[in-house]
Parts: sequence; C-alpha cells; structure tokens
Amino acid sequence: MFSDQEIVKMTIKGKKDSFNELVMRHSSKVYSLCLRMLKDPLEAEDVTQETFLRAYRALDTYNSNYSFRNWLLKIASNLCIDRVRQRKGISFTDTDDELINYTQSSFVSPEKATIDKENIEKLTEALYTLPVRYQLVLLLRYLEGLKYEEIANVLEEPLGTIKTQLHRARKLLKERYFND
Amino acid sequence: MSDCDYVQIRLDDYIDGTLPALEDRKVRAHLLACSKCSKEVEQLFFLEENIEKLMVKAPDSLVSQIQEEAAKEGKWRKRRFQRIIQWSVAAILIFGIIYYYPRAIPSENIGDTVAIHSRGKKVIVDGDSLSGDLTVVGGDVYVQGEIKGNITSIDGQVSAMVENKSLWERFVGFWDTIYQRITGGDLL
Ligand SMILES: [Zn+2]
Repeated sequence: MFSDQEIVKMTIKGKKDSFNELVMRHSSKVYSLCLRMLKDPLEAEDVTQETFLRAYRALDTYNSNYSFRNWLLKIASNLCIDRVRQRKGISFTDTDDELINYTQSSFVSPEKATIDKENIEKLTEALYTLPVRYQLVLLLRYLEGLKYEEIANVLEEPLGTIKTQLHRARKLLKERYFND
Repeated sequence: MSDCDYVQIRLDDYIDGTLPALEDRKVRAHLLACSKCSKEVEQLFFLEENIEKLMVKAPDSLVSQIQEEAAKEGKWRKRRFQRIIQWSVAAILIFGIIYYYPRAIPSENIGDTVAIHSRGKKVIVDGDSLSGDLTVVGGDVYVQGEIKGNITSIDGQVSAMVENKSLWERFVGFWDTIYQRITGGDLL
C-alpha cells in the first residue's frame, strides 16, 4: 500500500491511473465537506470535481510535509467559501428535505444509517444558521477529524484564532440546536 | 471563581481530551455534582458525535467522473511523453554525431586522380574542385563539391550528388558541416 505522498510522486512521473487511487481515498471527505457547506448535492459534486482537478494540475506544488487530505480540504474550503459568497442571500430551504433524504441513503456504514433522521435534520439546519467560518471550523474539526493545528494550517489562520472560532462555533451551535 | 466557572473555561479542552490529569479529575468531579455543567458537556458531546455522522460517501458516478476528467487532461502523462521524446531526440543526435564523425582518411594523389581508402566511412568531397578522377575503396562517396573527372566507388556507393540530397543526407551533411566548423578541418 503506497502512501499518498508516494502516489503523488508516481503521478507526477506519469504513471498511468495512479491519481485514481487518490480520488478513491479522499473523494468522500472532500464531497462531505462540500455537501455540508453548500447544501446542494449537485453543486457539491461540482466543487469536489474542481477540487481534485485543481489538485491534479498543481501536484508539483504540493508540499509532502503536509497531509494530502488536508491539502485537498484547503482547496475545497476555499472553493466552498467562494461559492457561498457568490450566492449570498439566496435561500436554500427548498433543497433541505432532499438533502436530508440524500444523507440518509448514503451513509458510509450501517450503524451510521440508524441515526435518527430528526437529529440530522435539526443539526444540519442549526449548522446552516451559523456564519460560514464557524461552519467550516466545526466541519473540519468533527466531520473531518482535524487537529487544531491542522485546521489552522488549512485555513491559514493562527492557532489562537482557530481555538477562539471553534469555541464560539460550538457554543453558538449548542444554543441554536437545543434552545429553539 | 466558582466551580462552574472553573469548569466552563476548561470545557473545550475537556471535550477534546487535552486537559492535564489533575484538572481533568477536578472537572469530572464537578460534572458529577453539577447538573447544569454536566448537561452542557452532554450536549457538546452529542453535537460532536452527530457532526461526525454527517460524513457521506461520494457517489460512485462522481468518483469515476473525476478520474476520467483527470485522465483526459493527462498533464503528467503528457509531461512524461515529452520527456521521452526529448531524451530520444538527444540520443539520436548523439548517436548521429558519433556514427558520422568523419575521420581523416589517407588519400593518395596520382596526378589529377585521388584514390581514397575510406575503411567503411563516408567520404565527403565538400566545396573542393577536383579536376581528375576520384576513386574510393570500401566506402560511400558523398559529393558536395565539384569533380570534373569520373567518380568510382569500389565496394561502396556514390550516394548523392549536389542537386539530389535526401533529408537524411542533409542531416548527415549538417553534422559534417558542424564538425568542420569545430575542427576547422578540411576533410579531403
Ligand atoms: Zn457547574
């Protein structure tokens, strides 16, 4: 089993189909982040694809001291923020139902499929009311399981700023979820 | 500072499991006693666990579409192909230089006639004007100059005349010319 870094090197050297493995390994992580940020499965697919293609074209600029997954998440985060900014003010309530159903049918493992639909619905709604930045730090922390240092690296912010943002984001989400 | 405040400022680290052992023990002790703080911790854990469950599998169609698009662009495959071509061209040029590197060939003048023992090498008559016959033994003759007499090649071929140069001969002639420029040599 090759590491991501090794596969990147192989791809740059022109080895056929090696990039496919990187897509296989990381597509769900990138897609999930995009889906939760953009709340639109089609747009999430679009941005996921763009993320991978940008990464592919810029493979020679990837610094192998950092995780390849985090590099992808960095590209995806920036693309998502751009998209959200572009469409500021547009309501997405129409797609919410569809999104919940979509979520239910496509969980990774069976035990995840048993999750209470109402919880998910309520959580995604509460999440969407948060500022984009807070959504992003929460998703990177808990959905993607990144450490604080990694989030700081992905979002190019000082560690202290990330800690503060995450603290506020958690607090705000808790209020929105439990106190409405 | 109340016990609740003590816990509140350590809540993030407690959730993340990064509290020093002593502080962690103090927080746990308080959580057992205080329903307000323990409820808050419970809620934060609940959210954390549920955000985790928002992970979905990327659609297979998306995965294969991305793979196809990357393959279609094929940036790094193309780079590799370019590298192979570049190295091949370099190898061919080097081979050409070595193979067609003309040697000084002993020749004897018999009156106006020149006889050359070419030892399998190409003999190039370049720009010179020769009034007699040219005889080459064991090699091809390539003429760029003017020979007023007869040209004879024994065990070789008279491969080209000035007017009739093939692309390959132009290529060979090019390298011959470069050789001459470098050495200042007069080949014949
Ligand atoms: Zn308390």
